[in-house]
Amino acid sequence: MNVDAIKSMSRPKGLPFRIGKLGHVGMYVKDLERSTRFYTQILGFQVSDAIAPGELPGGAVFLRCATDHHAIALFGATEDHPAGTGLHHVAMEVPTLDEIVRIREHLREHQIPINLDGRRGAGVQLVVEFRDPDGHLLEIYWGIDQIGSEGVVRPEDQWKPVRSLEEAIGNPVEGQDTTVQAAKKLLNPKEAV
Amino acid sequence: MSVPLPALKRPHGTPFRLRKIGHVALFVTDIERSLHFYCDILGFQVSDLYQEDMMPGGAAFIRLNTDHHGIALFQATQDRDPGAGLHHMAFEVGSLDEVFHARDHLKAHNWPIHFQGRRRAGVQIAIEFHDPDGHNLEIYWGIDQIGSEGKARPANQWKGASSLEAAIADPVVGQDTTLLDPSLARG
Repeated sequence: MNVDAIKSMSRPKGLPFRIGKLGHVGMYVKDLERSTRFYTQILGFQVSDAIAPGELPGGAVFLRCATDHHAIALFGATEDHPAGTGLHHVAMEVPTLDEIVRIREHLREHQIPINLDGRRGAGVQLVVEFRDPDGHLLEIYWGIDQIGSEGVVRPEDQWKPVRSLEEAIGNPVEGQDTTVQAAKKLLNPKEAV
Repeated sequence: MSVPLPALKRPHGTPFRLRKIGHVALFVTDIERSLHFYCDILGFQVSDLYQEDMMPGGAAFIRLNTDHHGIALFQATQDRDPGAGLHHMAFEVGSLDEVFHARDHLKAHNWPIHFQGRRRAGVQIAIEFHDPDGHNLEIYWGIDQIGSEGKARPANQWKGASSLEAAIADPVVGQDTTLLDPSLARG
């Protein structure tokens, strides 16, 4: 490793977004029930949503430690993705929807392949997903559901998962303000619903 | 999944509350290549580096906000392929007392703790343990904050320690290790 070269790397001026925090991590686990017991009973997480293996291969459980819909997502291991391979994905939050639109453009400009842009199900955040040089799946998102003290989670029939930002913006879920400001020019009007 | 999972609730009286995911550490093939990606494309900034003499293959700690590191990159080794992905994941608690409470709580559940004390870069006070699949987890308090001037603490101030008691007895510059409940520390 060339330490001098590394130490001279810095954030490029004029990047059109700023990642605000790590939002959640998804992991593969062998036994969803065993892991959910551990994360709730030992570490004090709360279950926000659970998806049965019939709906998603292996199933999934979304757990929160604060108000974000999930901080940990557990994915049931499958033959393709055995437990112990660990990481499913890492997600980072940006504070505005404009930044999601801009980061998609930014990744396109740098020819980083985008796996998915649009809206996920549980949590209903708008996302851009892509891989780092080793294939780690990364998600940058805005607008994840917040769960208050009453502990009520959005019903599944409101989720509206879609596979483009234009569609996600054009068809918001209840309570989600998907107004895009200056980055509007970066949207493709043909893809909107 | 036989138990209705939403029935698994946070037990009343859990003596700490995890506030956020503080950082995630990943195994990578080529730290320099990954740094170009995370810094040049995603806008992270380098806080510290471990060279070969400190850790086989080295490591890089990079930040996305004021926390000393949001992502840590560890060189994959023969034992650890880059595809193994996760090195560890860390959760922050709001007070030093809660790190001690979490230690007692895990002990009360007979859950093995494989590290406690103070790590080096970042100087947070932490306990480390595995989840049921062997994912390495950390609960910590007091990670260094890096301001606009962009200066990370010099390495000669780090003071690695291998117990919580040793870590609080010998604080690093600027770290207030006073326990609100001093009886949590063992003599």
